[in-house]
Amino acid sequence: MSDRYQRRCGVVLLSGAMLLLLGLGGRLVHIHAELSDRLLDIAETQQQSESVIAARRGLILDARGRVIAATEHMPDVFVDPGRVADVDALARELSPRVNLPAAKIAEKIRRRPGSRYAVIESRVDAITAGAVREMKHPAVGLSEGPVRNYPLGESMAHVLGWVGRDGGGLEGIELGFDSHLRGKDGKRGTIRDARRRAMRRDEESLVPPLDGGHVVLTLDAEIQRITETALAQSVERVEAENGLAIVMSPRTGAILAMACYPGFDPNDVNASPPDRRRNRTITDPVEPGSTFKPVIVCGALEGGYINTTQLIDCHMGTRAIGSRIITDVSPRGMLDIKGIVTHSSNIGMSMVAERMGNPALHATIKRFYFGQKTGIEAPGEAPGLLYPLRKWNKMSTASVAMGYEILVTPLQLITAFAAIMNDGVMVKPRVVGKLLNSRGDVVRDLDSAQIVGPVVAPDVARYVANELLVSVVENGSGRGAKLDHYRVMGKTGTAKLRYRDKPLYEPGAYQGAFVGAAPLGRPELVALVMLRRPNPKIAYYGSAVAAPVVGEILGQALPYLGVPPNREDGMEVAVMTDSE
Amino acid sequence: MTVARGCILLACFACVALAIVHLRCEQTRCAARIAAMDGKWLELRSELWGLQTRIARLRAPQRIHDRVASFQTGLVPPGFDGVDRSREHLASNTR
Repeated sequence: MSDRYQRRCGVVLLSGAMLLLLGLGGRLVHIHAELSDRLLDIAETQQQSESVIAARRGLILDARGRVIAATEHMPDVFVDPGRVADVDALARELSPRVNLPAAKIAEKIRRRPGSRYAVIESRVDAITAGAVREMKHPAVGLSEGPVRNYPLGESMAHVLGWVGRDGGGLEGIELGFDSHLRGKDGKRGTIRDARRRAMRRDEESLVPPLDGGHVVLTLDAEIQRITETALAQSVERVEAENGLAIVMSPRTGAILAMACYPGFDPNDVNASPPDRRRNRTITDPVEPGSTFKPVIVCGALEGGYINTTQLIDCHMGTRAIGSRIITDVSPRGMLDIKGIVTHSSNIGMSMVAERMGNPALHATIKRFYFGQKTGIEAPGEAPGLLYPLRKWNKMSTASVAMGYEILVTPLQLITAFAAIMNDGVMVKPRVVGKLLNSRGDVVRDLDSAQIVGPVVAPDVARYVANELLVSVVENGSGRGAKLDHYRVMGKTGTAKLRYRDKPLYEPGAYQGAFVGAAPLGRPELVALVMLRRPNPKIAYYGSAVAAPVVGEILGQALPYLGVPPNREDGMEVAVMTDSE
Repeated sequence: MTVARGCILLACFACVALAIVHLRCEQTRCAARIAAMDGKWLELRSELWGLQTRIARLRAPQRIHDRVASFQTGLVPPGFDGVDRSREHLASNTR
């Protein structure tokens, strides 16, 4: 082969290659210039997909870091009705896996013939999901979504509240702190190949999710358990309509337990009637009955309307005020203020209140902030009802002194009682201790006492707590709350209840209550228990239905908190405190 | 230019093209692995949340008390040895 021939072949070969390249270049220019927009649109639709990265709603924790509300992903089982050839056969196959009758599954599929998505079962567990996945049926799938879970079940449900299907808080702390708990969903784009397999992520469209912050409550799940157990037992024993209880630290205002019975399961809110879901400790004001007497006594002693030794005629248990007859459960003659409180004498209290007069009485009640919301973080708090002084009449003096003609929420009542236990200084009750960000760093520390102010002089508060309220438990109506290891202070109360539909008191309808604190000298806990409409044939006095429950709660909660006993075998013992 | 030279040149072009294709493939493969890891991260995140909830259920005070009662080991649930501790405290501090 000559050189010339070889050169010519080379030129032809290279020219061919160049022409090919030119052709390809020309086509490239044509595609870019003419077809690029249309092809880009088609390519984007085929290659790119965008998915939402769900942000996690923050946790709710108790005071010791136990998780009491958390979000997890749980799958829904769905069927694409358009891809089902034989509905009954699929329903039969699916039935044992999702634990639903085949007929019901078939009905769910047939109900949505035009749809591509018929949910068969929501929020199934991992085992069910695995069983469904094993089917490998083209028309059956699983779609995951965030679900709010309450691992403690009914415990604390009234404080926690619940969330809706969209993940937003609807009640309780879930509602009150929704903006803090709720995160912000992210999104990510993925470039896919011709078979729709993920090739790479689209960095430009990546928006990372912002998880929600956490809320740490002041509630302690163990004290809550103690409270709920004791309350439930008592409600069942006396066949009460319902009951509620609060446990609070008098010095810090921290609520350690808040319970209503019967309760509801926030994991399945719709299974319970709406009436059960209300946090009645803050939403339902009640006439407090005799548990209100210590408040009036504080005002009477501080104002000098009575002293500690003065005797008051209790009319042997019956006294007429106008057309109204007031009676005492245990008739007494002359009693000092200690005797009046110890035996919960209505007549004695009416005499004390008359000495004070309506203006001083009204001022005392206002000083304890009754008729105003306490400002607790849980939503739905009622302010109670304290009529203005001009609406009071002659009968109001005795009524209010016995805890009628005034409506207070159980939370207001325990807050006032806690103020007496705290040397007359009222602190704001609170259920939230800290707010954390999603990494667990504290963003807001609310875990310190928020002092509302002094409501009664310290010496008066100490006298009422250490003399009068101790005597109620040691010698009076509150003996049911007496403990072996701790000296308890408290006050019983039994209030008549009105008909639901008319302003008259219903015979045989009562509310039994007890509010108590321990240990004497330096109370660490205050507890309130209230039972509504117990069966009067079994028991209805606060001393019988509520005082033992408070005793039970304090008797278990104080050792749990490591509070040293101040009574051994019935004898008071001295305990050295740090300040001594 | 000889045929041999032309072939060598084309072979060089082909090698470069193959190298580019290989690098492109590797890049795509790595990107796909990153995308898969993203998916795995989401899966693990979801699993972690589930486990956290499960632990929370196991730590529920009522369940602990129920287990202590059913196992009958004589153990005391956490926090309930307080009475004895406080008695020791008393013994050393009473005056």
